[in-house]
Amino acid sequence: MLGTLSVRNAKRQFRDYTLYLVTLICSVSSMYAFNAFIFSDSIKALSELEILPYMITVSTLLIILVLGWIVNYMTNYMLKRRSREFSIYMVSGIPNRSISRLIFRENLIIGAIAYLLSLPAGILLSQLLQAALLGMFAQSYSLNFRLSLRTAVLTLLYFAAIFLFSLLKSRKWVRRIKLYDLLYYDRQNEKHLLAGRASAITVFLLSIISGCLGLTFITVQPLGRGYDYLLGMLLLSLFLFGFFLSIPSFLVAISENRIAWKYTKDHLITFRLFTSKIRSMSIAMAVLSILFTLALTFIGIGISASSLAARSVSSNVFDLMILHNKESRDFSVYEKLIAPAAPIRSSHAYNIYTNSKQDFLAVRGKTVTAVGRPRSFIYEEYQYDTYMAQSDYTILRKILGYEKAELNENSYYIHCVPALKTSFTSYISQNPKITLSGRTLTAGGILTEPFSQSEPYGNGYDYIIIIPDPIAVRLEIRYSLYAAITESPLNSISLQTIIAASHDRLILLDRSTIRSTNGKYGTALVHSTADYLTGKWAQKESLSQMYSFLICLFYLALILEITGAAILATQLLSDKEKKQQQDNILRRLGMSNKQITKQNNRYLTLLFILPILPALVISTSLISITAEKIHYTEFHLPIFTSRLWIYQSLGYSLFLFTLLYGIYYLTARFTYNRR
Amino acid sequence: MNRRQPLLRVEQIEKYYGNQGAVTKALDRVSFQVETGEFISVMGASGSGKTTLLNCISTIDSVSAGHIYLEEQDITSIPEDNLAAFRRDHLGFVFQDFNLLDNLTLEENIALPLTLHRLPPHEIDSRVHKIADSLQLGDALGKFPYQVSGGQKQRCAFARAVTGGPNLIMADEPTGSLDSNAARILLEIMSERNRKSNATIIMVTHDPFSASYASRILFLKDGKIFNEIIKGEKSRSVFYHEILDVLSVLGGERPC
Repeated sequence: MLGTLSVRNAKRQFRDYTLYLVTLICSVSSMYAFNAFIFSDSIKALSELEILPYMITVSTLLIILVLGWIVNYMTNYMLKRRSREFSIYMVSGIPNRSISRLIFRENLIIGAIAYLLSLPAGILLSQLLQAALLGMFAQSYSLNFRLSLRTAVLTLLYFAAIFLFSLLKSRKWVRRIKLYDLLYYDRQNEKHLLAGRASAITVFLLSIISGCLGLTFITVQPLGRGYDYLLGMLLLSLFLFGFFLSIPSFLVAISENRIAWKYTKDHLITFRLFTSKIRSMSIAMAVLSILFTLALTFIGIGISASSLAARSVSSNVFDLMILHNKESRDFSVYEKLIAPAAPIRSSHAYNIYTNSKQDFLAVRGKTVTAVGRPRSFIYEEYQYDTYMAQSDYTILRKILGYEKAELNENSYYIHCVPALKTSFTSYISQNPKITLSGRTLTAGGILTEPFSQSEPYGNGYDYIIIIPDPIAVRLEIRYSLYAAITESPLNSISLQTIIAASHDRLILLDRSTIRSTNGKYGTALVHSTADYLTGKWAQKESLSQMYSFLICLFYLALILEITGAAILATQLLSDKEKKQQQDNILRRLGMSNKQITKQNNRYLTLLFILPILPALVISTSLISITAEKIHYTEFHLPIFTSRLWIYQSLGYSLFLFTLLYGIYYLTARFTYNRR
Repeated sequence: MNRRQPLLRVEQIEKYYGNQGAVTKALDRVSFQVETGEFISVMGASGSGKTTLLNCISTIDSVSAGHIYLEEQDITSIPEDNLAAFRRDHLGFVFQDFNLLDNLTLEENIALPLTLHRLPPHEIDSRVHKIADSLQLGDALGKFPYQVSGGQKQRCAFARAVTGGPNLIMADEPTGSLDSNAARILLEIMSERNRKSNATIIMVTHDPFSASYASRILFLKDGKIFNEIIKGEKSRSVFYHEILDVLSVLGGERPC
């Protein structure tokens, strides 16, 4: 008998809490999809993604903690709403122990169904994610909709940990509960954590101060050494809890006596519904706001980091560059190795020259210091100005499809990164002429198209001076380069194959490994006999760790957002019955259905917006600070000249967040208004 | 002779529930009239059709046949979209379970229909305080329904019903959830309102004591008007006993 009841109750739970359970299924399928990376042979084959499984494991452990709390909260919430039903069981003579077994069994059924339903969705998602990830590394991937047993078992273990914890807790609650408490559960007054109006206003003001202080600590960082972030986060958490505990009473205090506002339009009913709802779920609102803050921040940081990476990659205009640490040589041996993997569309080999002048280098140094960056490391190859012959420059521009530059034989030109343009413009206006090998050249202009020069060992380092060929050939050759555009992208396996085929004559350039030459200077060209492979595809390889990190950020953000939105929507929908009774009263008092629907929509909109508001303020600050920090530490010169890219990242993250959040909002709105 | 039109005219109304398999006739050709300023009580046993009649007059439910005229307007033909506005402009309601909104204070509950009338806020405020003072609710105005007694809740509901100045006040078992003292206070207030402000009240009740406050009583049985008695110049005590006599014939509830 009790067994049949468990099945029926489980069915009813699925009907009553569809949105929450669907979200649970989505969360578990995401877990499956991301954990599938750990066991995927295709991912394992990519050596640069070896860190990804570790990152996913750490992210999943974080998600287990969050989901554990959420499932526990929702199970508890659902049980308490069924208190009258449990009292009927008790009155019928069913002992507490049997009731707890009944609940355990029905939740086990729900859990098992949720897990089983999440598997096909997980398999589909995992295949799409793997295809997308491998696509980023120019790998093709054929979809394979087979269950990975190891992934399924691992996901089951995680899911069981989340679910069993809440089940055991609820079992304890049911075993201890008394019949009287169950019968009169809905008549119990809600516990208001803030009793008086004065204390609510005090807490509200304190929370605002705490929030402002928190943001100040994070943005201004008066203490340094990371203490600011710790203290800032603590103060912001205090702000969120204080804010949601006190905001209803605060709003009531400031609006109660404002008759002119309160009795206009439908303010009265919407305002009272809104404040009473946030009062009854203040702690949950604070937690939801934290979840949304994290989700928005993770999405925002992910987007701003990928914007930086994309910008950095886009400034690396040549698909492949091979550096030979001496004068120009025959690169055709490498061309033969590259061609089978990616046919070469166009290429050119040329020299980068230098002399003993540092005039332009000094301008660059001053600009780096002026934009607040620490003085960058001085590479041996860039202790003097670097030059390129006009003929080479003309060919390279042609290869890149740039407009033909009209170069004068008696002029020099500067091709630099955009961040240096102002400084060089100012410099050449004061010093329009330079003398090289006995010839005087006048400044012809400054060009700033992307030219593979924002990192060392490209076409100069941030800048290069374009000079007439007869002068160039009289200068010292710093290194020679082979620049190529390929017909198709090169993935990491192809790159490794090319390197292996060269018998270690060609190696990937690692700019982070620097050998000191004489204490003052250093070089990344540590192998004297090798040639170095750089360029767009090689740079993408070096960004793989960042991509792994971004995947985990989006994974966390996704779970945090959907579970938070599901809790909010479920909480609001569970009041539907009570709200419909209220609507009936309003209808009798003369409120039209249209007015009631409008008022309900306004109420739902306010409740959906409220936890987002503080989350938006905090996450905007966190995203801006983090994005600027990455921009500052990873690039010696700004690759973005304005803050527009940060605003764009904020806009995109809000858009992505709203897209998902909007689904929950619209579902809640539709279900709420369905009579 | 210029005869005055009745406020409410109920003509041959019928109400059926159910489907082809099992039809229940809740009202069977009921007709009566109510003059402005009358206090009418509708009595009858459970299932006699009292509340159905009230719901039909208050446009909460529709009639299966017949017509109901309020100030010569046929309210059975008002389009669905206009019913809410009609109720707002013409009717006031008092229910057994108060039907107050839990999250509004008593003051705000009284003000609610006035905000639906889109009256200026200062006028709403002054009307609320005036009616609250007359119903001895002044001290409880800032409290929520869960903080006050049943009597105060029902007085608040009555204040809400009359504050908009409706043509007709409909009360469905208004004393059903009150103790005898609170019930008496409410009935006296209703009676006073009827006398002094010429308010027209239709009260559905199965309690003879409550009904004795009315000036006329309609008795319903099996969806039909079974009897009608008028108080006239009789004392309330005499009228009360007359009600009991009708109930004993009707087979209704009779207090011990």
